[in-house]
Amino acid sequence: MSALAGVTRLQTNSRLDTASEQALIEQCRRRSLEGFGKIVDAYQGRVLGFVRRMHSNPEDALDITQEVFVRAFQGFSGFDGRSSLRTWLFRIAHNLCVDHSRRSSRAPEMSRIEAQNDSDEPLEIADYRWSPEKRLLDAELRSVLESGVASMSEKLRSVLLLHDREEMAYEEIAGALGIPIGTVKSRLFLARAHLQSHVESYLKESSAR
Amino acid sequence: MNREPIYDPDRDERTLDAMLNRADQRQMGELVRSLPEEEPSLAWRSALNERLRAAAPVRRPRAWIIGRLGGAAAGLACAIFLAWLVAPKVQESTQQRRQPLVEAQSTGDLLVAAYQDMVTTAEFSPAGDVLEPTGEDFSPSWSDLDIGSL
Repeated sequence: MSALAGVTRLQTNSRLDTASEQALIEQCRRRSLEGFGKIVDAYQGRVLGFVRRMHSNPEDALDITQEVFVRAFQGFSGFDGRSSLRTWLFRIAHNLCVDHSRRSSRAPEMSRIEAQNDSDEPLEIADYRWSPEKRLLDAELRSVLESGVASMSEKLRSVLLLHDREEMAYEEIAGALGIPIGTVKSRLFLARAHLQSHVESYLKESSAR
Repeated sequence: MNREPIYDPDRDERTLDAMLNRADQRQMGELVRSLPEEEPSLAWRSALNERLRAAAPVRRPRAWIIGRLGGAAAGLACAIFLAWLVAPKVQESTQQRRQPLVEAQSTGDLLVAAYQDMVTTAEFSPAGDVLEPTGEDFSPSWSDLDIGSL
């Protein structure tokens, strides 16, 4: 994150509607830099967020995110429209993250999830820490969540981020990652359980202080 | 503490849907959704733009294309014009080389014809006329011939 600190940020544009996106796709098929620039505007924040959480090194995350868009621009003629543009971009991002992890000798691990209790009741989180309606987290809880996401395996992390952060459907995620829908759901369940365990530990510790 | 596994691989998709719909699961989903978006810097975006420009196909400006085509067309036109200029002179010189041969043939033919006439006249001259050499060299009358043209 230090690479981004203290530097003027770009305001990520609002998401594109279907018609606008389709028009931009046609421009990009003709290798229009202007058209592709608008796609970058719409997706750069989301792709960077995904890549940064998939790959903890901020410098590498910035480079990988650039590579995502360069690859997308170069390979746009290969985008046949069978999947959505979002699915296609995140597929590229996921593959690059996995490739980078392999080169860094960071093999993905599958950790066994063990419940702290059998209850399926939600955790009690104070209002000042989290406003679900406004989607606001206090800094400490945010840090705990980020560390919880970072501590799970790559396979669980990618599904959690694509579903809960990017709000992609199970079918989209299955297409992007090349796995069955059942596997997507299993991994999502495990990822949330892992995160719950992590947050619950923090909440218990903080209440004990 | 119960350490029983949460995940059973034999469960079907409907069971998974029910599990994912639990309150605690949905709460974790909401928490993740609340994580802030990343905002790239201007410097990062500028660097990306440079990389994209380098990856873009080279497009020649229309004026450049027109200039190249125009130059090629002008060169071709000049070549055709020069060929047109040179071609008649080549033809003329070719014709001039041929003319003396034609004239020579005409003069030779005239000489032959003149001699034959002379012989014929001698053969058919009236009796008694004996053409005797007068002591002068007998030679055909060249007066009708343009000796100078030979």
